[in-house]
Amino acid sequence: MPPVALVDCNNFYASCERVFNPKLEGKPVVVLSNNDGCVVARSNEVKALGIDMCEPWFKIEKVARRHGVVAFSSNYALYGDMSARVMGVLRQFSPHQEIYSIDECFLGLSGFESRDLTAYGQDIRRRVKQWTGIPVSIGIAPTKTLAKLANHVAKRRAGYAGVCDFGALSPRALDALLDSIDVCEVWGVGRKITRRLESLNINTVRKLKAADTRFVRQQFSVTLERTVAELNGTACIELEEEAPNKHQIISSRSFGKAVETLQDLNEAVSSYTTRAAEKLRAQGSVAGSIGVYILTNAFKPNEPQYQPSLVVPLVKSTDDTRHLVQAALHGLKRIYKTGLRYKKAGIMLMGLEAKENLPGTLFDDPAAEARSARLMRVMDAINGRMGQDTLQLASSGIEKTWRMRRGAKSPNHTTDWSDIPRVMA
Amino acid sequence: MIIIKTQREKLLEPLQSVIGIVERRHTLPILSNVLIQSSGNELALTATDLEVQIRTKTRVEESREAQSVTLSARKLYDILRSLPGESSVALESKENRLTVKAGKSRFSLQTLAGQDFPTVAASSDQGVVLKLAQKNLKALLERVQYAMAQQDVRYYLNGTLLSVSGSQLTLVATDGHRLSYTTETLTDEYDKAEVILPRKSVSELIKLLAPTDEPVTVTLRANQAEFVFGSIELLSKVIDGKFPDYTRVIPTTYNKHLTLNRMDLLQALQRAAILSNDKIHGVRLLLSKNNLAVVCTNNEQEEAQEDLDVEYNQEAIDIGFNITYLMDVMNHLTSETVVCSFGDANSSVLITVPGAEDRFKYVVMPMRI
Repeated sequence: MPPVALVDCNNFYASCERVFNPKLEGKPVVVLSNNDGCVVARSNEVKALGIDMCEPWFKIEKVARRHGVVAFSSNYALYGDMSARVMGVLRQFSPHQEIYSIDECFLGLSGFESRDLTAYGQDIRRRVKQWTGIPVSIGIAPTKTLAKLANHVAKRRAGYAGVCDFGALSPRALDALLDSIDVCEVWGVGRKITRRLESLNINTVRKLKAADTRFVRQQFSVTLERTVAELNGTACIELEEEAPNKHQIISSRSFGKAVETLQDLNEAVSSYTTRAAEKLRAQGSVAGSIGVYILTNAFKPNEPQYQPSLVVPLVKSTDDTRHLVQAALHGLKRIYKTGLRYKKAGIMLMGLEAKENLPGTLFDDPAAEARSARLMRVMDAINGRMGQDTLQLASSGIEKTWRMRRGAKSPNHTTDWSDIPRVMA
Repeated sequence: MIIIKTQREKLLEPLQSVIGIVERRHTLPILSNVLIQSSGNELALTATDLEVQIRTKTRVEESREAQSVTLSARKLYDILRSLPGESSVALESKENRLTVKAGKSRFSLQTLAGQDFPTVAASSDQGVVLKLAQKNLKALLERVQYAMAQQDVRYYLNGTLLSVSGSQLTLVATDGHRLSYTTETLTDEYDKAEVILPRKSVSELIKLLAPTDEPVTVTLRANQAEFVFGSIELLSKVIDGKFPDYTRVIPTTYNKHLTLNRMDLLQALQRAAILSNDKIHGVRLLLSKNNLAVVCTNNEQEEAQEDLDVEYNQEAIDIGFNITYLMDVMNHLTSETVVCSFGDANSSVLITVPGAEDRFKYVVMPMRI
């Protein structure tokens, strides 16, 4: 089995904030979810304070401030761009890369077997840190599931300096190590499965590794059987080097304050659809239908609740923002009820297909389609150069009073000309 | 009270005619029932899904007083079918129960009152009434039916256009990617009339029309189409919408023609289709001097190529299609040969039958492969 490395950025969002703000080094940093709702990323110092992931910010703000915790609103433009930089550096270390999430990627290491992989891992760490400022941890093992665990060890256990190669351990040492890790840390073992495994006295990774595969398949699923095989060093989950195009694109956001009017909802749905349509065009797809939904605030049980949704099919699959917005607003009008306080709206583009494969139909109007394609190209080009929403549909609104709160957002250091950091000597 | 006493076949046959439209999943429980009405020597069975209604009338030997009852069509059908042939069957109703008796078998079934059954009456509008042989209407429907859309947002495509003008009866179906057109000259002249007949009515008609010269009387009304043939009356709602202008998409100026043996092409397509992409079902047609290559490739880079000897010495053509659209038309034609006419690689192909070019046309849009 050629070894696989899982490279995972440490406290990614918090680390991104630190790169351009070095005085945060050593200080507790949290990043909050949209609308500054919950904690979604914590620096090690925050973890040491005992603040949990997903803790609602308003509950802990006072205590946290007293401990000097610095809080940021999420800045996905920054994180996305920093992620692209990290992945770019990592690509130099192996021709086989699978970007698994914004802060994790697998590197296939076939052909590197004869090298000292721990040292190679240290090279990777050093270069990523030096070139991007982001600290990473690396786990190396014969299968993806084991590489995930190796990464867990590299990150959590002292003495590994951020790189752990299971291949460098003797079978006995590896089993001892796996025996010290809770079964819930295994990739693909969630809370429900953990509970059932524990009731069968399978509470460590080593015990799951030793489990009878037939029994696992009978009691659980073929997926967990695959996990057991992976723990035993048989690779069952392949490296997916080419990121498959998305099958659906969702764009949804909570509002900064409760929204009541159809006008405001129209603006929000129009804006979200615009954003989703940009992503749709960026991947060269067209959508066959669009779903729209609105929600009242479920955390206010005294207020009347309403969570409708509707899918609007399109006559012909399209990537034209105007047609998509028109369909979304048509759907919104059908589900909207007055007298309610809405908390969130969202849209979902579905039935995605590659635009170039879309067969022509007998009743097409090629001239109109060419015009639409030209218009969308111009819109994307202007917004790409001059900034998001420089050119937008009027239905998206100008003031956007419903917009979410992002009071403590850091500047877009890497994606906006006016936010480029200046260094003074 | 006995509703009817007759041979099993006398009841099974008309029930078979109506059962096709009884929905297995329905909103109104009574729609899974069949309405049985007897009056004098006549026995009538009716089923409906509120869109199509089929009614059959049979003559029975013994005369009875007027009665009507409804019960599960599927259960009655399964019972009758499983009884031995030539059995004598009696249906007896009592309060809200119906008993089926045959030989030593007895089945007691639940019923609902006959007057609650949602029958549709023929509307008072006279409409245009035309008459043709059952086999002709059946053939016309079969020739176009497969091109209808299925559950399309453009609801007016989920059916077949029936249009009469003068002595011409024209049927058109399209799903936006392909279109089938057929027309027939009737013996009489009629006023102009047009309806879009829903999918289900089309497929039921094809099933029920007999391949005989017996006539079918067709009444086209503003919101209804009625077909009366043999002992069957089929009453259908029509789709309220405007059918697209099909004359605009049927090419008239193509000059690259290719005559092919229909079965040879069909079999080549069927073999090549084994290696066509599961999702887009593409096929490439490469037409060069006296050769037509039919090429399919799939995601695994596997490839099938079928070469057909043809008479062709015009410009070479390289064009892609959805292979099922081509197989559909070849499957539903009966002629020995077909003619394919091409424009350029981005325009549709026109498929006709030699000697009947005006009576049948099939247009398919190409796809990029």
